[in-house]
Amino acid sequence: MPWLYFTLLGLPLAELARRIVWGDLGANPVEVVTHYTGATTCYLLAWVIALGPLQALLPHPLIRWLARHRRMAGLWVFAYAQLHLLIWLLDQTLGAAEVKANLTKPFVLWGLCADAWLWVMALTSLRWFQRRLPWKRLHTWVWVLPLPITLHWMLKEEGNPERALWLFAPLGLLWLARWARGLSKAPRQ
Amino acid sequence: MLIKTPKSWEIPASQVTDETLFLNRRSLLKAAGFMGSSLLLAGLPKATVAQPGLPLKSGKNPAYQSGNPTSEDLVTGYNNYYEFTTDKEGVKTLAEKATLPPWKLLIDGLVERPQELDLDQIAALGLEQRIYRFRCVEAWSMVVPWDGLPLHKLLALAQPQPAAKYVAFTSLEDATLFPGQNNKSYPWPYREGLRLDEARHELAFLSLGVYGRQLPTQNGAPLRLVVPWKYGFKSVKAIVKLTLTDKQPATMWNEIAPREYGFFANVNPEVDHPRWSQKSEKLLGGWFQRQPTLLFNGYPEVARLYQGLDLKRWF
Repeated sequence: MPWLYFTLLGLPLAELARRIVWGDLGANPVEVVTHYTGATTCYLLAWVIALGPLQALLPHPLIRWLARHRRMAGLWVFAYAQLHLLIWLLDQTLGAAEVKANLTKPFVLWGLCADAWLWVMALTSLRWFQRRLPWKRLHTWVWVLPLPITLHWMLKEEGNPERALWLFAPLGLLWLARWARGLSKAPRQ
Repeated sequence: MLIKTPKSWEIPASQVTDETLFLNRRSLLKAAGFMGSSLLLAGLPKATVAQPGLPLKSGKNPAYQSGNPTSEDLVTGYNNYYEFTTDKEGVKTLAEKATLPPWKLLIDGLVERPQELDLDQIAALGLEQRIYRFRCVEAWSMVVPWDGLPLHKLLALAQPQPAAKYVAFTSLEDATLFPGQNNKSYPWPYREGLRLDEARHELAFLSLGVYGRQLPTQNGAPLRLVVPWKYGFKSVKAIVKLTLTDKQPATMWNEIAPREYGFFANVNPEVDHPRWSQKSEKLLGGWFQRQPTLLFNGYPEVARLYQGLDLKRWF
């Protein structure tokens, strides 16, 4: 069954490919692809983070199964984030190169911050590191990601903090619910 | 004398037109008048109400025909219009559902002759088509064939007084038409302003149409400003009032974020937006058509308006 989960998580990418092939990207394709991959990163990230408290609050076998396969979902988050960065870099370097002018802008810095952390998480989830690091404890730090991402979202051209808050604020509620139930320690996976 | 001798100019009561007929005749005449003048605008009656998409009588101005216009569906399907939504590609669907009310443009303030004009009266001043570059503050751009008239023609009708130094533009406020105006975190209505010498510059344009047709609602129907050397947010849409003032008018984006949106808002690759670079821009219509941004959006003839002005400070 993991293959089915893996495929499901790849569906947003398939949909994007369809839109590219069909030319269904409107006036500013780069913007659409950038927003699409960025938003998908955020939605999936929220899902991955939510699974932690969810498995404590709702000990359903399906939730437990999904939580066990969080690593795979996390790697998809990483993949969508890299696509997001790649299309932006291409746009900034092809044609009138502007990458240097934008590299110091806060929205870019916060995005890169978040991405650096995603790299740490992705690399340390390799088996070799898993055996050598307290990687589960390390990976609970996935919780810090919404902060730089929200700032990144707010500070871009057409900043939209509402969407970031709608997405990430419920995570805070979930965390509170778990804390309130005295389950501050996540069960062993 | 009880015998009444009718004067030569007296009309017998039997010949006086019945009042109801008289009123009917007046409304007929009025309608005929509308039809006559509306031929100028759309070739159809009721031209005091904008009819987005209908052909407009406008001739190409040969002085402003350079540039390769962005395709019409992109020009009319991708722009900011926060009165509808903050999503550029969501504006069109919402705007197409909106019905514009009958329109009057007021010109008041420090003028000799305040004006209240309907669309026909504005169109009667003569419309022309000009191709202008359009640069959004968000670093994307397009090339647009606008139909309209230079703003100075309209100002001349009202005759600004010597004390007038600025023109304040007010856009329509109507939350039943504009769902975005229910978001009270923005200080509606949308207001913009120009210095009077900027407003009188030959390039400052009042647009009633695009691509030879009346403006679609999403592009600011029935009439909007086009100031091609400034960022797009200066080119206020759905204008209901021009007020001549002696003080710099408050403008909406400047009120919301004075550090980010200055009163001048001249296109300038050397002055970054605090949050992003303005050195280059995305030309709509392709994937990687990023091009260098030009000072005054490539209209150097306006430079004389800003002689001695520090463009970095007065952004």
